[in-house]
Amino acid sequence: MGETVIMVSNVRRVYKTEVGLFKKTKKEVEALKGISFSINRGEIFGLLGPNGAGKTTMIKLLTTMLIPDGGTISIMGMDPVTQHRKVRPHINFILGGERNLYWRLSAYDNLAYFADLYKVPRVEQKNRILELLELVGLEDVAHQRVETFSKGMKQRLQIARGLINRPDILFLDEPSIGLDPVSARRLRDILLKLNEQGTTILLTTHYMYEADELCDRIAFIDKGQLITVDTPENMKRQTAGLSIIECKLTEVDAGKMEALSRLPHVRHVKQEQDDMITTIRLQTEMPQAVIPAIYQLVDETNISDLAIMQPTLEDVYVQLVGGHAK
Amino acid sequence: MEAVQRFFRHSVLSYKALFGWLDPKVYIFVMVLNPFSQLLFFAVLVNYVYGGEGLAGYIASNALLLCVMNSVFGIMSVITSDRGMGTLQLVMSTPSSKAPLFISRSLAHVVNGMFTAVMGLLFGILLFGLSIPFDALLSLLVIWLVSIFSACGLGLIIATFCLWSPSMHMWSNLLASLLLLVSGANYPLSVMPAWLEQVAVFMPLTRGVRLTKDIVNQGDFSQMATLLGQEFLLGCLFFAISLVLIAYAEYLARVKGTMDLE
Repeated sequence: MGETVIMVSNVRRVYKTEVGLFKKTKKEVEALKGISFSINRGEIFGLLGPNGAGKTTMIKLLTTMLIPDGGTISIMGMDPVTQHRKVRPHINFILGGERNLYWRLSAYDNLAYFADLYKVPRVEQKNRILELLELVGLEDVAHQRVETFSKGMKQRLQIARGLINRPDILFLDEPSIGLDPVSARRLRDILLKLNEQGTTILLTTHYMYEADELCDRIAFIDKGQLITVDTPENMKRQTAGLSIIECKLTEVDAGKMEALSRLPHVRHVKQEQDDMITTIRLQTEMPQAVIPAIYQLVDETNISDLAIMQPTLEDVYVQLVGGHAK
Repeated sequence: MEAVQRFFRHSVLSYKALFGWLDPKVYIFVMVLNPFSQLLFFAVLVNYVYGGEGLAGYIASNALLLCVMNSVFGIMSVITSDRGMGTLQLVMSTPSSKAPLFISRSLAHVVNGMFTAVMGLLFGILLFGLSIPFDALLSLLVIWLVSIFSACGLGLIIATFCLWSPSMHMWSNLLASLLLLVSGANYPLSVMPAWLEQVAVFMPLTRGVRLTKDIVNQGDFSQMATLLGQEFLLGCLFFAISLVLIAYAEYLARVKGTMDLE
């Protein structure tokens, strides 16, 4: 077990807004309701949860952009509330999406700009920028304006920007959002390479396979509360005895879906529509009892594929965060 | 030395990144033709009203007023463009000191404002066949530099309002109109209501306009040191206030979570 570099203890954060011109109504939203966890040096730690769970708020608190309303945070032994100037040289963060870069500047100039802001000595700048551009595969377009880049290229440039000060801890808020599978794979490879070089990484993501592949430990949060923290392997063990029946149907109506979800031994049903095929995933402890029931409910000529699978991290997530969805 | 180089590099790169009028075609339309048409309008107007008396002074002071394009709209972009691009929170979260950062960002606009004003004066000289002595021109350059620095300071104060208010166009247009109104470039300050005359005392460019007219029309340099000193102090005060406001906005953003436009 490495040294603890991030310690979050009972952190609360409330957003207060006022609505109305003359008769103002105050509204309070409790984004985080007393969250505690810790991250060790060299870990890749995933923060997972649905929209509005409090993931981005947590990242902003850890990156000195927000002040908590309660609880304490320690980054490498420093308090980001009172010692934010000392914390900032040791961290950096990357936000998902295409913004957060200067589109009118070239890739090189974007990095040079932030190198100056992080006070990287001029003698080191050139080599470091070229190294980073090579790491993210943008060395051939170094002097091209960012506005000509694809979304994946912009995202990779953001990674390079986030590494310009060689941070000890890198925060990533949904870094692969909107990326095509090849770009997302490339991004994951870069993150693994960084981690091998010793960078501690905290990332939020909606993609369970991404978290499963990258993270040493994962925290699920929902409605501002921590649900669980563990390794992906241990989490999947929580579903021991659970099987997933994945069934591809050419035709299914709402009535049949309702009937499927009411079958005995079915704990959860998830439906995905992909062109002509509807994929349903049923969580059950007794697949041998559920499969005949499926054949009874659905005309077998409509079943194009049926398989029994091991639960994935997504199934654990559904069970813990979205278990009420049945 | 490294810090000084960094200061100037930041000035150039932030100008390129945030102002966005480096495309020659756009620059000519926005930063040359637009100010020149404004200068031409006021030159023709004062020529008609005053029958050509003191025309050189009016044209020179209107040329100085062309810096408003930079000292208001350019300076506003120092904060609003950053906020709109989603980069403001990244910049504010870096370990760099924010005071030199925003001063270096303003520097490019002081230089650009000078360039626009000098171009405007050359345009006026060529169009109306004016003759201005060389020593007067050198003094004008110093006066304008200090005046534009001061105007950029006020512009930065107004730009910080954009960290609270989404109505950036309202603020920028209000300030641009106010600078035109109380500068005294097109009529003597004494014809304005007394309270407005008092407002003019605390506004940038007013002293610059007065000195420009004194020097160009009468060759009178007697008030130069006093008024220039006042204008410089006013500019320093404006920049100091704007830096305090930026620091407060940064703190408020950490409390309320409002630094970026999401």
